[in-house]
Amino acid sequence: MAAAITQLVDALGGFVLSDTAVTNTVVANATVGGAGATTNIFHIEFDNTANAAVTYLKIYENVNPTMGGTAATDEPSFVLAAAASTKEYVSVPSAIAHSTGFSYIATTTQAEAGSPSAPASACSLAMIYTKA
Amino acid sequence: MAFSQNNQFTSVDFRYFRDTALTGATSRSNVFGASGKLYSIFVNNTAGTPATGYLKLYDTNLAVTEGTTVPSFIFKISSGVIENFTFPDGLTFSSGLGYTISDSPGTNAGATINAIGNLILTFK
Repeated sequence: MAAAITQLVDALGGFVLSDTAVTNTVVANATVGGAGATTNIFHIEFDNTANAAVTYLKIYENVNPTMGGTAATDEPSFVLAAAASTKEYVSVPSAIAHSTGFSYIATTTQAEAGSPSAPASACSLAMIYTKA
Repeated sequence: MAFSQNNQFTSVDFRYFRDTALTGATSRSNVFGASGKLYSIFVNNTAGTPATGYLKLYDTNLAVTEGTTVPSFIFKISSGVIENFTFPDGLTFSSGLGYTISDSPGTNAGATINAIGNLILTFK
C-alpha cells in the first residue's frame, strides 16, 4: 500500500506515517509531508523480517531525490541497516531535523546507486514526525 | 522487608565508548574490537562553534576510509543540539564498528566539522 498519514491530536501536533510496501521506488516528500515542509522525525520502525538479506532504509533531505545523483541532497541524510529477518527501532527525543522535507526508499544496495536494488519482499515503515 | 540498593551493577556487560574530539579528520576503526549490537548514541554538538554533521557508522573490522568505505548507518546531527538515539533491539554490527563524521551526507568524504563535545556509544 502507499504511505498513509494519520494526524495525531493537536496537542502533539504530529503525524504517524505507515507504509507497508516500502521498496526501491522513492516515496517523495509530496506524499509524506507536503513539498518543502520542515520535518522533525522522532521515531522510526523499519520492518525487514520478511527478508533474508540486509535491507537499508535511506531517508533523503530532498523532496524528490535523484538516485545516484551528484548533488549533496541526492545523498541520504539517514541510513539504517536492518539485518536479515529483523525489525529495527530508532527513537530520537530531540528529533532528526530536515529543513526541506524528506523522501525515502528501502534497498539492498548499500552504496548510493542510480538503480538501487529492491528487497525480495517489501518492507514496512512506521514513523512519527512533525512538520511546519 | 527492608529495602536495599546497590550503587553499581555487578555484572554489566555493556561497553561504553567516549570520543571528545571527533571532527572527521581521522576515521575511527573497529573501536570495540568485536562484533555486537549498538544500543544508543549520545552526541553533544553544542561546543565551540558547532556545525551540522553526518555521523557515519561502518559495519566493518577493517580500516575505514571516509569517502570510500560505504556506511551502514548515517545520522544527521544538527548544529547546536544534543542528540540521543536509542535502539531498543540494538543495531547489528556483524563485523565491527567504525565511525566518522563530516559535513556531507551519504558516502562522500566531505569536509571536517568543528569538534563535537561528546560522542558516547553503548555497545554489547
